[in-house]
Amino acid sequence: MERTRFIAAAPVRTASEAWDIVCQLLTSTLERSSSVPSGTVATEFQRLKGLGPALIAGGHFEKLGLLLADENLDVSIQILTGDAALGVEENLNPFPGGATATSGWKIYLQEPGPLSPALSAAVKGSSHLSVGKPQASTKTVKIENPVNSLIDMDALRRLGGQS
Amino acid sequence: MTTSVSTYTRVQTATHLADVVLGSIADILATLGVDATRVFADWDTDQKAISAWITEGSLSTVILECHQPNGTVSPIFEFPVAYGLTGEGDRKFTADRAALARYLAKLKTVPTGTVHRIFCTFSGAHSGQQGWSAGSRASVAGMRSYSFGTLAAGPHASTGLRYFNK
Repeated sequence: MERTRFIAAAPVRTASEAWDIVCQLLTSTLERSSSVPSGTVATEFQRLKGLGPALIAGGHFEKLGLLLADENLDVSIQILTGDAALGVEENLNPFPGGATATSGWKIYLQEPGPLSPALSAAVKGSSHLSVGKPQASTKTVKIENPVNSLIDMDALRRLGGQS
Repeated sequence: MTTSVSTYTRVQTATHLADVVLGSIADILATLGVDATRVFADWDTDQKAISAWITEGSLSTVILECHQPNGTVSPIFEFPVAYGLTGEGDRKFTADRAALARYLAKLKTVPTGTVHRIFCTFSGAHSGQQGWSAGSRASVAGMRSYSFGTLAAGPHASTGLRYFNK
């Protein structure tokens, strides 16, 4: 289940302050897990110093925002500005499920607009930060009752009139 | 019957406008293909300065200049700040980012090696701010001018966008 949180930026607070809150929220969520060493998340976000606030100030995280994806985590953070920011009721508690985060956690910066090239350069070499939306295949789907074949070949043959 | 009154401060207006101006500068530079590393590095310093000057009502215009390797200074973007009651109906803090995106889509890239400078002009006395020093902006005489109109507004002030090109 995907969870979404909204964070208020200007005029409630500056883009830099909003970015710090996002970093703290993701850090407090992920570093509850023993698989995510302390300081790991902050080190990754250090790559985005200045860029994060620019993305917020440009309104690029208003519609899709950041997406944190992991085996048991599917959470998004949207950062609102202007009048929309005034009506935000914030929940800054860590996202549920953080304690089971794996070392494979990934944050997708989904719609960076013109800042996409700068962002791509900043996250180059990172295994935890990615620019753009996640591909559908990156989501882990747990199949409770796997079967050998998902296609009934006999039924297909009957429909096609072949034996 | 209950009534509620919302009051907004000049600091909130200044925070909103400073963020929109700097966010727009980052987007403009990225669209033009100009390295914006310095904008990101100086983000907090510049945000605090612009916000403080809008709060005190001294900031007249924020100017973004693109200095090409051959010495040409073009394009130039101006963000003039107007003070007074603004807002559209019930909306208090606005930013026309959709229109800005359409506007940016029409911009042409500039030659490789082009660098940017940011200036501020003032109406009257203004406070000193860290990271900023006196400088001279380039002239826009003889340049073609295009007006974007209002880019962002708050209860106490608004900012527009003008574009100059050779």
